[in-house]
Amino acid sequence: MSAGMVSVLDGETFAVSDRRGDMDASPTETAGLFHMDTRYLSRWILTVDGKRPGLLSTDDLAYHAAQFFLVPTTGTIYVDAPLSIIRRRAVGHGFHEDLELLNHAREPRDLEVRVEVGSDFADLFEVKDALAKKGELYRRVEDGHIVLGYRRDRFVRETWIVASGDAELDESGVRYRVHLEPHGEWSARLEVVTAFDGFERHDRAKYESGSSKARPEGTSLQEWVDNAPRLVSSWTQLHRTYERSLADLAGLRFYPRFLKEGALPAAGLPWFMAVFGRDSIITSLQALPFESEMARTALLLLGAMQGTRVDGFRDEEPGKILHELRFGELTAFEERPQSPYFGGADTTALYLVLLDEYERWTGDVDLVRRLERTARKALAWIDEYGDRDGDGYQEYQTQNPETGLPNQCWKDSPGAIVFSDGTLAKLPRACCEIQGYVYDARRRCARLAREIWNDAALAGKLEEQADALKRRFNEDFWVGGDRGYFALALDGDKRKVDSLTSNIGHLLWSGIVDDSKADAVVAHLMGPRLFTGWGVRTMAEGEGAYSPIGYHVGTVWPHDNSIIAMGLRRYRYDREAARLAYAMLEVATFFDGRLPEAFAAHPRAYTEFPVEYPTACSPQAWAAGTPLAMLRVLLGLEPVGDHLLVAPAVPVEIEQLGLTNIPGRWGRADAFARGRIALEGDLPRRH
Amino acid sequence: MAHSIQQIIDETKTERFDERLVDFQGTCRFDIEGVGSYLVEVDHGRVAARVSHGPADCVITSSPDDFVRILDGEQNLLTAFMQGRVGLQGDLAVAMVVHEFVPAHRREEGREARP
Repeated sequence: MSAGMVSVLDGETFAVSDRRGDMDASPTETAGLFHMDTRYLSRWILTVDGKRPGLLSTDDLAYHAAQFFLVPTTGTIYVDAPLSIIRRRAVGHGFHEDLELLNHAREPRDLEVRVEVGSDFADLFEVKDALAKKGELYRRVEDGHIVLGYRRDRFVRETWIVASGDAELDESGVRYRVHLEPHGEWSARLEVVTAFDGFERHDRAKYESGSSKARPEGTSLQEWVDNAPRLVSSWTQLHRTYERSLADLAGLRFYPRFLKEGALPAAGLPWFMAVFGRDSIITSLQALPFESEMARTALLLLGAMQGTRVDGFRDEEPGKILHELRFGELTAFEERPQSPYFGGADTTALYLVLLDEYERWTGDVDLVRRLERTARKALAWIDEYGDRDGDGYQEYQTQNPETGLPNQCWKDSPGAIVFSDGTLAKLPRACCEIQGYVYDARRRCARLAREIWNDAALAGKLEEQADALKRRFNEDFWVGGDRGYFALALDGDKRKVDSLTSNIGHLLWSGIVDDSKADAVVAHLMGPRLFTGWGVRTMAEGEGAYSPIGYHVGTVWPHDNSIIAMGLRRYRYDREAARLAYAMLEVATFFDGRLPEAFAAHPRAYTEFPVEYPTACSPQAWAAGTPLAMLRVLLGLEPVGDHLLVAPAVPVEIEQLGLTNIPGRWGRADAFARGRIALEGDLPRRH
Repeated sequence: MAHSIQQIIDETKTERFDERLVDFQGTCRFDIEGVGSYLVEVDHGRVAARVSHGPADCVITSSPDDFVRILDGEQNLLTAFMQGRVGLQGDLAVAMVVHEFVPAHRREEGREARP
């Protein structure tokens, strides 16, 4: 989605338009009204006397509503308009739009106001793979509204457009013939209703009278911001980044219909406004020191939808945590497996990591008790299915080669898991970071078993398993000699996939790295082949598959760096953690406070600014969560029993840094620090 | 193996306890076109069913064929909703949980064996 677009959303519905409020979807521009993975409106264009008005300004500060202030275009750079045009939009079961015209002239005016409408009822996968629709599109005018529809067998989706007053309706739009008295006003109300979505029928948009009275699902943005810790910093641009991150996370909250209440983070706008196991878990982890409700909802929802059977089409297995849930046409007809799809080899272990981390921050023992069975089934999946061949490592290979994911780790593009010479690793693949997550999950669940589930035997077993895994991993994955790092994976022949990648930073986060190997790992992470000066590349410069604009084989991913920074702090490389966190927060300032999903991996000295990389989502949840995780890293926030430990590692570039009202099992606590770490010097050193 | 509607209803009528549902409470009614309605109640592990048109947290409306296919595990409930093959009123979450624990599905637990 391009930066000039405006998104407003409520629950499972969102509208993406240009800054004038128009929607004109094209293969390169993702605009429209989206609901449950289907585009219900792809064309919504306002004209006055046949011309599209020009933009004065847009107000999209509330994530569920937007206002667009327009004027007739004059053909010059000057605005001297006798007319103001205002659109106010609020989303919910479609959207409601108030249209207002103000005549500033002393003469009366007669105008033709028209809104062109259309819908392609596109499914994400049709857009992604340029597929044609298999059903029939239709449109008609009936009972005072325009019906845009799509039918394939019994699959029916309809958009209804209702217009107030003396509107003239035809199949392509709404027309008003407006007479304005001198200094007169005119207004109309338009409703776009997601009438049939396969689950519910709606006759009206959710809000009756525009954005001023609209109230989105769940906590309002203001309540959300008020509940979050308050940032104290001498670095003024950091405030913008922090506010933007909070607002984006609020906006990405997704209210799944599988739970009566609670929101979890969707992966990103516009096409990833869906439940994703990995993205929801990582984002919830990043946000835990700031907001724990998303983590709670993610744990409940993902637990409720845990795999129960072996289903090769969906890569489902008993105990496995889902990867992705969709409601679009191709999913409905089982031409895609996302109903839900379980093709994530890391989500089950990450789920257990989140369960423990959630309890550490919140002290919510009840939830850990409630999810005990879920956790036990997840642990059993790791042993019985995650380890496909019984060698003690987690491997993946889809059972659905046609439409399943070949790569079931976070670097899920087809060419991401490659040897140093660029050749593709044979399946099944055992990615290194997944072994780390499993190690961490077992250690964490051992604590939960001992302290909450009262099962010392399970705790002992998990600790033994974790210790054994760590011992073997440090031998089997280590690329020795003068290279000195962990292999990206073991391939299907148990060969080390020897590319140097950012994945080694995840190993620090998990704690699986032997102390004796940490120096070497950190030297690579912060060395010139991986560290650009802005962040750690997904793949090191010089590797066979490396490209600075390679999606998972070069570009820098903020969320990846947040995990690496947490790993650096875990192993007490405070200076390096501070450097990485500060660099990423600097990057955010180049993007008006909103970190992108990924950016190009050119060296900082070469470009002097982080080069944008065109990606599908903006905002993206785990990119929005990254500044929060980096603040945790800089302040060294760790729950210890019922207390919050603060162990700052703040660079001198940030004179003052603090968070007040940090929520947790202690109630609320504050953390303050002064910048004391000099970022000079290249050698990794423990502090 | 395909089951008949009568088989499924008869087997569900016997009240039983399912440990996997101890945290769950909800009712789901299946309205089978041309056949009738039956109601499944789950109360913290206790699962019981009876022929009834009584109120429920969710109501699933389907043809006899789809009903059997869903409970035999041949048709995914969620995609049946999405396709419009099956109607839903009420709480989807309850429907998703309850349909997993009616007899035909329980028999299919054998499929949990490693492939």
